[in-house]
Amino acid sequence: MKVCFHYILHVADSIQDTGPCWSTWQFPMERTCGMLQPLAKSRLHPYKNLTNNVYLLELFNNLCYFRKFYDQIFPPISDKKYKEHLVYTNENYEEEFQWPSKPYTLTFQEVKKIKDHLCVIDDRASEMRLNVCIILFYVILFSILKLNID
Amino acid sequence: MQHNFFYYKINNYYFEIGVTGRSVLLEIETTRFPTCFPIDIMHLFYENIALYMLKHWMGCFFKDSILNDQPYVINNKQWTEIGIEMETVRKSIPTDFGRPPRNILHHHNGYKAEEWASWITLYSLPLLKDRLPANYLKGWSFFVKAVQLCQKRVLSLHDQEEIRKLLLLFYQHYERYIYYNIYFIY
Repeated sequence: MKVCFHYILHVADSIQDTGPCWSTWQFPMERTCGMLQPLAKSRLHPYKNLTNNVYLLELFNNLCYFRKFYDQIFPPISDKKYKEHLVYTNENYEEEFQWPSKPYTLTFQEVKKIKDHLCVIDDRASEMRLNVCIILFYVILFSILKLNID
Repeated sequence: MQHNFFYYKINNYYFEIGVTGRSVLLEIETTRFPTCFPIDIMHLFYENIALYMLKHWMGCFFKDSILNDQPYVINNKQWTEIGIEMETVRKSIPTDFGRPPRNILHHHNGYKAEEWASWITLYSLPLLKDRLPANYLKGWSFFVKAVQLCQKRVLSLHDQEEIRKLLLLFYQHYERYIYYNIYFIY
């Protein structure tokens, strides 16, 4: 029998000795190896090269404690400002939803269908004057409505 | 004379089993063997046992093809079906569940530990249901439950005992019905 099947009998004991499995598993170590591997670029002196690169990386990591130099090397990125109708985002999300703003010319039939549908859900909509040139927003509205109809 | 002979035998024995000397790690005073050398479930559960069990089910664990002819072997057609099911479900798996599953028939050699983890805890039981004989599925389910408990951030004393119990059940099942099942053939 493979020895690894014997090892499972010791898992509970090793939890008792050294805590939950996540505290001793190899994931962080493997991750570190994955980070170190691309740092050793020299084939002649791989270890020297690796040590130098790690040292350099650590210097950069500590640079943030020296504000004066840090701001010069990494100029702060200004937050982008969006117009309110152009973007939708949520505090919990990093992603931003941009409204499409490309002009789109609706065909006569599309305008008619939108009108027809709006007539059904709202009487006032029948009085709306829909220009032939409407931004894509209406197309999206249309497709949503179409889904509802279907 | 007797004494020397004894030492000679002992040294010979060490040589035979491959012991060449004391590990340098034992020189660290705070290190106790074996308590300070815990078992790494990433390699044990995810990369070894999951792989070996898969080989058992695929019928390629033993070198001898007669030994591989077991009731728990799933045929190729069914493995293809499982693979296709895994591929088709990719788009509907929430990102919180980790990587989307890859076809285990084609990619099991390139599986990462994380993918094995989700294969064990999420995909294996529903995919093997009705394909594996019920008692083998039951045996595997002990292991799945134990792995799920081991993945918990905080373990209670009860969880720990549960892990011990479940892993022992899985071990007994493996010993009796999967590995030594070979003796019941002849």
